[in-house]
Amino acid sequence: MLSGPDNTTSMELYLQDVEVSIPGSSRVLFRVSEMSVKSGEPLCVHGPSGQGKTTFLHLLAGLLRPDKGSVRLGGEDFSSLSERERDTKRKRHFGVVFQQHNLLGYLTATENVLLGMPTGVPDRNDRVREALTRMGMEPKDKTHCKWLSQGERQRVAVARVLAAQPQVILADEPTSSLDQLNAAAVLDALLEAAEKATLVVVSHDVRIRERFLRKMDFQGFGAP
Amino acid sequence: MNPIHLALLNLRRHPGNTLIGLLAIGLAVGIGGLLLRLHHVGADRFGNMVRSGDAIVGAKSGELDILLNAMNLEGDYPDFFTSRLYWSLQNRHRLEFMENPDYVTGLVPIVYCAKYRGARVIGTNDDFLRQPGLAVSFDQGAWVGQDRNIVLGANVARQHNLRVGDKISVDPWTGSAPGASSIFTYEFTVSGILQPLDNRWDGALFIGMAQARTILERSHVAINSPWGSDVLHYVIVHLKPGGYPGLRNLINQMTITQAVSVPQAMDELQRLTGGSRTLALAAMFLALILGSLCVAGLFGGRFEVLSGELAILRALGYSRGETSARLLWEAILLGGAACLLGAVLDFSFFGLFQQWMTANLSGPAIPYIPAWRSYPVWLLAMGATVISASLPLYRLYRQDAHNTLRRSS
Repeated sequence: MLSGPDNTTSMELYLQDVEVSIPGSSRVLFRVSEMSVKSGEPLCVHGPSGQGKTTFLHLLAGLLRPDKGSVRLGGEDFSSLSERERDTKRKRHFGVVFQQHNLLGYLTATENVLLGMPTGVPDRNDRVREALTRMGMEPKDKTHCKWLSQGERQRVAVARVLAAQPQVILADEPTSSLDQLNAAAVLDALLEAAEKATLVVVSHDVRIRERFLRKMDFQGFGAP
Repeated sequence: MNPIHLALLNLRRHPGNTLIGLLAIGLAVGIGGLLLRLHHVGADRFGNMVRSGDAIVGAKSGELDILLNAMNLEGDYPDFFTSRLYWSLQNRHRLEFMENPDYVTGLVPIVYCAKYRGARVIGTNDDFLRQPGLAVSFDQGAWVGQDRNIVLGANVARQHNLRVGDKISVDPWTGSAPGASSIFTYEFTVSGILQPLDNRWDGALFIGMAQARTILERSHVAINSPWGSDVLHYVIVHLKPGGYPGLRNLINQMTITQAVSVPQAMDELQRLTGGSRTLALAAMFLALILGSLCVAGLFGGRFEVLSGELAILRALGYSRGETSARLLWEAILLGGAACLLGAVLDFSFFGLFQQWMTANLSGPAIPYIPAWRSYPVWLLAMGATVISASLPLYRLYRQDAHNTLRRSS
């Protein structure tokens, strides 16, 4: 699972000597001595609740900085960039499926998917429609997300990532609200996207873990 | 999706909140605009008052009444008094029990006798042209030289496009007593047009005393007055410094008329009207503050929702600048729409106020203050709305997206 940085893969995520503490405390939440994820080699992160898996995913997305060590993206020290630069890179290169879906309730499914796409994409409407169709959400594309069920929201959140066609996909429990059939469809779509993108999935779901060749048993030091 | 589009969608998709904010600010802007324009009305109403002379002598009717009727040409047809008083002062005749009134430096007799299309026609003499501190000069022509000549104030000539040599007909205006209306009209030839004086006399017309008396002789004034048509309404008195007490004692104690100190009466008027104008301004600010507080309450009440929403945007890669812009645009769009609503209310209702005031206040028509003069209220409202939105913005700008998203999960 561990390997050195490979700069030939433009969007490889490489972590070295990373340490993240609990905010406002010196207590370490988790440490990662070295880790690399690259395109075509999707990684499933699993482990008990409260160990900091979501924080780990946020770290990869650049939403927070490590207290020690570095997170490199495509060879560049992503974690040392300014917040604005990390925002720009996240918008341009990342697609994140959040555990709580993080959709804006007053926007329609289509608008929420559009929200995750960088501006200036020429065929954005086609891509949005295609992603929603793939997730079986086209019939509800004009529905405000506050009226959707948890499962439907989750599928819209996945569609948002698929439509953006990012180079790095991070997914936090992407199937937690889905039935078996829809969970399989979501996983198929994510793994298909992972052929061209770097994919990290955090999940408790055994069915998901079984589909990944690379797995990481996340053992943090737990929340207080 | 850019910040403006997001802000617009948020406003449209939360119609209840948007409507409350829109009405709160819109009503505040409308009321504030109306109050500001009423403040301007108050200022304009007395802004062009004639400022000439140190004292006015008129029939007893109260200081402000005399001041407003003589210097602001407003009010009903005033009572008159004999013009012998004027001649006594003019000729410095010894009045019984009094010293010569040698503190008097100038006198201008005033008698109202007619109207031309609502403008007062003032009977006076050429002393009108030689008032200390008031440069009266002619744009065209000269003072009335012969019978049936009339001099026009600058505004009258401009409004009715009149020139020297034109003939105009005036209607007698001799009060509202029975028989006051007259079937006669009098034709005059314009002999001169005054340069603008920047006061109410720009909206008046002037004829000689003899002509005024001719009009009065054929009216009820000559019948009802013990002095016939030999009457005046006011005498504007120019005094030496410190001369007013002497004049006041002479006039108030020895005659049936009343002397009014122009500076003192002006101060009193300013005190009375200034208070209400200040109150109008204070009410305007209060209305805006209430509207702004309402919007601040709306934004503040939505803080938790906004906090989560902006954290989501940050997580999707929107910068702090973009998320702040989205919030500011929301305030600008809301404030702009509310200003538009307020301006419409202001525009619609000011005309009604103007009509009501014109009908209930005698004197010159209440001036129309154009709606654009409410612009300070619009700017204040926009500023207040943006500030209201900026209070949560400050907290959101310091937001840690990771922690906010963790808390919401």
